[in-house]
Amino acid sequence: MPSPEAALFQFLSGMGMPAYASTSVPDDATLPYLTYDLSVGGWDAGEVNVPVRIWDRTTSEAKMNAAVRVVGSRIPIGGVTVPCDGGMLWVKRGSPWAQAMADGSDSTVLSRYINVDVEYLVID
Amino acid sequence: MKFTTVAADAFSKIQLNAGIILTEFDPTDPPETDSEITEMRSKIFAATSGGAQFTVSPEFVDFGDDIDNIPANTKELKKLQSVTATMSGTAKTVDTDVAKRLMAAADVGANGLITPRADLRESDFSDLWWVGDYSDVNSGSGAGFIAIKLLNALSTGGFSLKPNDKSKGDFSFEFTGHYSLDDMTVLPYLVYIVEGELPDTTLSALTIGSLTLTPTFSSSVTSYTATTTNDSDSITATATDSTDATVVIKNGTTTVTSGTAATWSAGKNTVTITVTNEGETKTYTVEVTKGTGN
Repeated sequence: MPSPEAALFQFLSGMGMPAYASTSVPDDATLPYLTYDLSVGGWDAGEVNVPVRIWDRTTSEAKMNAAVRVVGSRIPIGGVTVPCDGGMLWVKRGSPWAQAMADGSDSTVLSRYINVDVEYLVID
Repeated sequence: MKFTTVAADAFSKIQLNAGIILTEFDPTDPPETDSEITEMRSKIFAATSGGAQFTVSPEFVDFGDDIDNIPANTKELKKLQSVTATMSGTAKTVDTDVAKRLMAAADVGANGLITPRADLRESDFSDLWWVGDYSDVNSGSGAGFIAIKLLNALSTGGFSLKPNDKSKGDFSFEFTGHYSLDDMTVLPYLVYIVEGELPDTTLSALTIGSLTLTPTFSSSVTSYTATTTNDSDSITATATDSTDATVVIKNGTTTVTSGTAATWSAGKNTVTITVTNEGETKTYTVEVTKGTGN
């Protein structure tokens, strides 16, 4: 079984594009990709917010919305449980679900900010 | 020893999410296919908010409570007289059928008219189910669930509509399960707790010609070794779930059909047997060493 952190990475890597922890995006990463801010909880910590951002070099809002729908299909209403070492992660939709954003430094890059909540149902 | 701890398998025994209220459900054959899930959705009583509350209140009689020198709550003298089982919550959707049930005794007529009735009829009582996600395996085939059946349910909470400004209206409900004179030993509720099970990805049998596998084959053991002096041996792998599981055998990178021969190279040959069932996989490996013989 992967560690909780690795299980989250593997889960987010199944969204149709590479996933990177926001602290470890390679310099040569090519768009589109998603980044996420890793927050780790525990059995008694309840939900923790793990913001996910989708990035793509496009001017198509429809393309970005489609990418959000892919993430939504992987995290349906009620969430999804992901097995990991010591238990499982309960990955749920946060609120608001997705917000359109832009990269202030590059007008050809669009972004979506997605609120993902994760409950670490993990026994240490 | 610190007594602030939880069982190691606690995560696998959690009820998740608000669940749904259904007019029909078969816990012995829960929906798995898309068509079965669509069929189940058509049986949802109403969309709810805040989940449902299921409560069973027992009513006991203490036959010793008025007898001198017998203390109250003596177990041999305590009898269960009846239980009151209720399911309550707030519905966010309504149609004529839902309103009819909420009104307990009513008939649906033309043009959306629902006429309340002064008398109760047999048809006003019907079963309701609450079904919710359960355990660490809670989606797909074999998903765990908790199901509660409220027998002969009748709306006892009245018909209530609370419209909300700039928000959805609330239809509060409370249903009570009922005994039947047909068999008064049947209590008005049932509870099912079914743990989820991952699809079976094990092999029930694995043979490579007449070679001896080390260790002896067992479904739960995935790594083996064998030695041979033959140029080839027939590989047969049988999935435990022979109906839904698929088995792919490879000798190195060469695919081998089960029941046919694999050709060995001198030295080590790695045979992998991958069993796939509804997205779950398990891989067995056998390292076959071909010697030159005497």
